[in-house]
Amino acid sequence: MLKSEQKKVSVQTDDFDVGVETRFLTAISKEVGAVNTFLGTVRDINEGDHVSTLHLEHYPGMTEKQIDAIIERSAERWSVLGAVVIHRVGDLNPGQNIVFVGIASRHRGDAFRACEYVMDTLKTEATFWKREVAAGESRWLKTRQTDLEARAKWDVAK
Amino acid sequence: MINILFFASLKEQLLVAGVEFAISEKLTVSQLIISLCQRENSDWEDILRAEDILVAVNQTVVDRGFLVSAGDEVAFFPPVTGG
Repeated sequence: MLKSEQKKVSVQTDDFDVGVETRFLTAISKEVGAVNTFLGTVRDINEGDHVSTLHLEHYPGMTEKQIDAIIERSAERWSVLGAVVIHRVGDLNPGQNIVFVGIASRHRGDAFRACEYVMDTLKTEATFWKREVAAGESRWLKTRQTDLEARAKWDVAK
Repeated sequence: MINILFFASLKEQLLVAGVEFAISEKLTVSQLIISLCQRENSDWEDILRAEDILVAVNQTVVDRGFLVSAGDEVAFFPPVTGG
């Protein structure tokens, strides 16, 4: 189990600063030798249509607990010294930040793999829902098969 | 009393974010859906029984045979699309 000072989980409407979050991870311990970060942003084109706005909703309470559990599962599997997951909700426009996942480890292999695992698992398990306005119409997004496949590879890979 | 919540497209289809529902004995999720739709709106049944709809009790995903007790928080939602 990571201690509370080794991790940060936030679901928020406000933007975040990748530099601030990266410095949090590097400052966790002198043992940290690798920090891997992922930044997800809003794309302007989805399924061929121009996206003007993305609206994100979550299940307050459950979503944060799920993310915390996903981080802990990653720490059981790889050597993880610190983790940050920030996910925005509300209305977002193309180019804006949606999600940040950062993992601090002793070595890069653990940081790379744990970061990808947390992101792939978050996408398929954490209670977030996206509605986009594209081509003048508002529509709820459906689960992508490629996201399910990305998650499934962790069930066999190590 | 149990607190029932609906999220995302489900909330829009049912036109409500949640309802309170009194139960006198433990019910499975499937039985709860039937009782709830009898009380609220019979049109809800097809929506809530759809195969891809997920159910969480006290913020943990469960299957439809899970027993719900008074005081529980029960949430229905479509497949997740975050990240």
